[in-house]
Amino acid sequence: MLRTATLVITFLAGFIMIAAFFFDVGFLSVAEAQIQDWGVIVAAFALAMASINLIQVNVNKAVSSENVTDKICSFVLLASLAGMSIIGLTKGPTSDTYNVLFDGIMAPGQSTVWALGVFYIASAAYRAFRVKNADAGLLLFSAAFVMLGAVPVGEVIWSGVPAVSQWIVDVPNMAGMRGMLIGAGIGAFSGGLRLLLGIDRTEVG
Amino acid sequence: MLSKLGRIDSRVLYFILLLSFIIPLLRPLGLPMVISDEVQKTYDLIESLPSGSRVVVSFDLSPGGYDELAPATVAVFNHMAMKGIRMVGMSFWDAGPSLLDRSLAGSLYADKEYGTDYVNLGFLAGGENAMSAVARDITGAFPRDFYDRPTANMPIFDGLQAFKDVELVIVVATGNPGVPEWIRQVGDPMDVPIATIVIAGLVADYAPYMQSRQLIGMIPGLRGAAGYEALIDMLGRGTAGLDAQSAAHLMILFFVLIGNIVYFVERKREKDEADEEGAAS
Amino acid sequence: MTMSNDLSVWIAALVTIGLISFVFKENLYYRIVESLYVGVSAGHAIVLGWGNIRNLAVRPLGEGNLAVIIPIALGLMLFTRYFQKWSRVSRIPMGFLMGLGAGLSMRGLVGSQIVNQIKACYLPLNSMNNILIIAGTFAVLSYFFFTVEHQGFVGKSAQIGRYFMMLCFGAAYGSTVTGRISLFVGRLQFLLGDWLGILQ
Repeated sequence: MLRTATLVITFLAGFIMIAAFFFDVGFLSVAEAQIQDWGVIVAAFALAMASINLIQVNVNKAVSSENVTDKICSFVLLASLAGMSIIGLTKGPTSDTYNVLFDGIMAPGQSTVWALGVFYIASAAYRAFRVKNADAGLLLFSAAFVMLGAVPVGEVIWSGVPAVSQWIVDVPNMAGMRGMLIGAGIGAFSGGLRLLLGIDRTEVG
Repeated sequence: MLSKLGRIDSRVLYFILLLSFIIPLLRPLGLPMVISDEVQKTYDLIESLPSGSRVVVSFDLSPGGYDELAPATVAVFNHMAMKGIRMVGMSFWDAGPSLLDRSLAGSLYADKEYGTDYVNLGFLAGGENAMSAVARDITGAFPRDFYDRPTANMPIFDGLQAFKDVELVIVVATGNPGVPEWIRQVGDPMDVPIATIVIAGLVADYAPYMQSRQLIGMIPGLRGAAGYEALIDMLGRGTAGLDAQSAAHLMILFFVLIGNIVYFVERKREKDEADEEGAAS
Repeated sequence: MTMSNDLSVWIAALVTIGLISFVFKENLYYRIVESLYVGVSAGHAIVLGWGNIRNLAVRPLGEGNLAVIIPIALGLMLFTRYFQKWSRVSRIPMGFLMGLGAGLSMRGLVGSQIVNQIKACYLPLNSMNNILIIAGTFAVLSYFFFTVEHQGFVGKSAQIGRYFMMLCFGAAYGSTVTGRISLFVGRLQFLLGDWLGILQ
């Protein structure tokens, strides 16, 4: 019963979106708008789920882990999660205190974690980027010109670098990306169709 | 010597790379800069909009990519504010509204009137679905802005209900949901022009959309920011970071070169040794 | 410029240094800063999610819009997954979200990602670039054509497609390197400029 209901709801939600796109019929447009608005609300509830999973894992660690460092870190994580939530829910996400936490911890934290990738890329460039065959040679040729074309020093080395770099991005890269984009589009379409028709039930039934 | 280079500690590489960043930041060389076609096109596009036009800016980014996109965003905001273009800001990533606030505060919009010249509508959950819902009814999807003020009576929304009344959408993006979703839900079906300020890592991915004109402008990361700053004659952080970028790029290419030299020399040595052993036996 | 006396700049500098320290060696300072920022980010998602629920569901419900009871009920059903006995109920809202998402993307991607991309290949064969664009797209598509054995013409085409993809991946790698470098430049501009005040 529950399984059938889930499959029917999945199908209807998707079918109405598709039908309303192709047929300009009053009730379909109303249903489309209503379902979309509901979708935003349900998605907002879903946002909290990731945080709940995080809380579950870290409460377990804080209570039962034998490693003192893990305990401390889980406690810090739970305290900062609670602190940010309480300040945000009581004072709002534009309050001064909230902004201090956002500007002081969240923004620089994520930014630095992303930026650290440059060190691992450098290490990989040194240890793993080997021209062992034609494929790797093409990869290096393309990467080197795109990198040099992105900065002024490229033109200082050779005035043709920006043009070659732009050509690589606009012609061979574009053609390759387009092939992959079309392929991925066909794959996504068939995946969506399988989901709506109840053939793929991994998540819903 | 070469075998030692092959076994070099990663931290030595990190330290050398770090120096390649810091030295040019402290002592800039002032290398000449090239303004790319895509940046020029985006500038021309905004320059062609009449005063009073309404442009939607969707801040679909995480703080992870903000350092790269902030200079370009501020430069574009300055250009839009100078032209008298009204800006409707929104986000489908949870960190977006706060980051949009930072960019607005650092631009000429800070001197303009909130609710009339610009607005920060905040965040809406649901990604692609939320984009589609907003495109249909902006104030319906955002009944209140990021500061919890009602949006329906704001002057900026006079005569603006759906995206069909918008001149341009600029997507400031670090990933998905972002540019492809905007093209799918708004650009193609509603025939609204879409441009993007995007992290350099996505430039190659979005090339097909540029060639098909589904995307009509693109400012790639810090490099694009430097070009845009030059075009509006307001040099900022994008320009200031270019020398450090040049040095770091050269250093990484140098690492690739040295890594390959070590690899080929070692491989030749191993082959020679194997040949010698074969000849001896 | 002088050293900053702004509290959030100081906190941000300490967080940045803590996280950068990881590349040299994992340490307690890094672990604590990492936990701090993950916790704050999760808290931020809760705050912004609640903002949407308040504006789009709770307030309209208070104003007498009873239709929002349905998405509120669906949203609450999501949390049944934390109770073993009722966990299957959470599949209903999941199905709703997935069906909605699938329908939306299917209707959009046929036009924007398939038809318009194919149309963009209708180019006059009057330049080498146009020929390369058409041939490259065809060759890459043939590489993913797994229902036919990659021999003869298809095999050759797939091999050329592979070369095009290598150029793509190289461009993507190069762009990614540029992006990560830009980000680190941004962090250093913050540390040396906003915090220490030693950048001009």
